Amino acid sequence: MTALLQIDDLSVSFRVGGAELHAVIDVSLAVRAGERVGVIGESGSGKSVMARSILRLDDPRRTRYGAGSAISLDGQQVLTLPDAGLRRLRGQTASMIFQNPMHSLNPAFTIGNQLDAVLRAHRPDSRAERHRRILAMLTDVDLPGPEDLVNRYPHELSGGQRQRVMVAQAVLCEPALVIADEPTSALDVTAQDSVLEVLGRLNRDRGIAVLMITHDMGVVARFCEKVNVMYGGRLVESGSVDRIFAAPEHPYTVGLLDATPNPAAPLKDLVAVQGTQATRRGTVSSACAFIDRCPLATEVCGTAPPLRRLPDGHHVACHHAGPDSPGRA
Amino acid sequence: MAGADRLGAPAGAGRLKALLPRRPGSILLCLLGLLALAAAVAPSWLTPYHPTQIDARSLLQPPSWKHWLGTDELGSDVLARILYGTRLEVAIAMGSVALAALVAVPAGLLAGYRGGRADYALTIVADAILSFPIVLFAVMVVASLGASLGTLIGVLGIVFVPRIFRLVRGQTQVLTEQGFVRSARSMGAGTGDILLRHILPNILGPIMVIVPQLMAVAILIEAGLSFIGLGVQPPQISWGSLMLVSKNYYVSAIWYPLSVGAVTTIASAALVFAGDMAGNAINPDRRTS
Repeated sequence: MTALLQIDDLSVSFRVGGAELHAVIDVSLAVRAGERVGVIGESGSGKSVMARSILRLDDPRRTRYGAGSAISLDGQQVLTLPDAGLRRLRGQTASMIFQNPMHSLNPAFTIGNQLDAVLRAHRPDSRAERHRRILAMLTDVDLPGPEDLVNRYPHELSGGQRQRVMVAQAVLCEPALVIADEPTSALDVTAQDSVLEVLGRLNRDRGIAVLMITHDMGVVARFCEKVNVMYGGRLVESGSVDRIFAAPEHPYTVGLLDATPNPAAPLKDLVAVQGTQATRRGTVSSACAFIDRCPLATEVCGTAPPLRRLPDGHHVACHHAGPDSPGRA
Repeated sequence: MAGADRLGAPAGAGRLKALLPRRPGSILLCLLGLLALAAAVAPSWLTPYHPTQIDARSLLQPPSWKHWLGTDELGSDVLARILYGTRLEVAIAMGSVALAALVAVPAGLLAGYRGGRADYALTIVADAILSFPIVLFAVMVVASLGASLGTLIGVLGIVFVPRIFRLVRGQTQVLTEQGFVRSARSMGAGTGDILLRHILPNILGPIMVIVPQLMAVAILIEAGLSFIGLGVQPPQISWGSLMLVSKNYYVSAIWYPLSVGAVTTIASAALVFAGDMAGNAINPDRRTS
């Protein structure tokens, strides 16, 4: 079975003040229909740029995709698709939920009006049919009183309610994939909970695949089946959530887990990953991106490690990882 | 949902009612606006006199119950002349701002949203117009095309274009970075949809603030141009042309130039206040009461 979303060797760079900023470097990942896949990494790791590239949302005049880059979404080549085809893809094949729900709705129109505009753009349904569909969708995302809600303006809703409206908008045209770019980061824990709950249910009941971009290991643990760890624009580890939490391979993943509170071992001290990410402006160092912060760094780390497949199917990009690692003498 | 009825948006007649002015200042401004429109549409409803009616027996009469603002050098009623001149002022104020908006709003939306070369070129043109002295520009145009209502509207329209353009461009740039615009794009909205649905409705507020202020400027510039003889020509009446004539009688009939000046001042002040009030109504943080 071919994957719903297949990203191959994606490199994205931006022109910033005369220099090239390498946001994403050679990232490959796949999402199959109905899967819940996580992408985790700190600010500046390139995870959001990677997510936006799936719908080619960045300004084409400033954004450059690397020569070998390819993104296949439901069989269509996103990076070479003409604009009209791209607009059909957006919202219909895949849609996106953004971080800040306070700014994600147009303050000038009612909720119903905005949802209806999305349906009008993509479907030939009658007015009554669209209305029925909007009410059903609002109910599905746990928003009470949809008949009343459609006449409300965004400022009359709470952040959690708005984010659920965004979820409703994202799945309104029944896309095969929802890309959620830190959908819960701006919400308090109760609202986070309800948004994850709603996304999980839409995934189970309708088979909508979810690509969850986050910096929160807790969200990954709760929501995802597979996870991709990004660092310095590269994919450094990829595999099942169970495998990563049980036996993380990359020193960065180990650091991330040591820095995450664990309810099962509340007395364990949290350890921060020391240092900061190296800049990716101009030419990118040929060394491993994590070398400056890595406790295991040795001479071999002067050349960047490729993403290797371990015997159990897990993937990691580190000379020192795995049972027969070249760096582990 | 608790409190739903209390919070519910007003519907139908209720919504219209919410638009009615409530505070004394805004009521006064609305009345002035209605008066100006009435004078522009049908000045004969407001005064029994004809503005060009000559009466040799009552030249330069001071204000009286018969002639509220006195009479001019030909015995015509000054109030009637001012009221009949209102039509021209309204035409100039609305015409020039409408003309400017017609050009500047689409240009500003395009420049602000697309950026790049189009933005660069349009901004240079706008800055060039802004840096040109208004009066010098008006003299050049009037000298080559002749003085008329159309010329005045054209000149002021061109002068106002960069002022509206810069506002729209700046607001559009800010909104383009907003979450709901990105979100709309991610849902498949095209450029037209984004500009007309997501950006324009959200910059109508700031536009409503600058429009009355530019109208005030239009009235003052018309007065200035007519005063130096570059405005509309007799027998057309404008407040500026009344000022030009009335200044000759400031010793013998001081109420005559004062009346004309006062009306012009009240009109432009009212428009400036209207802009401020629109601003306060739109931006709750700046509400004073």
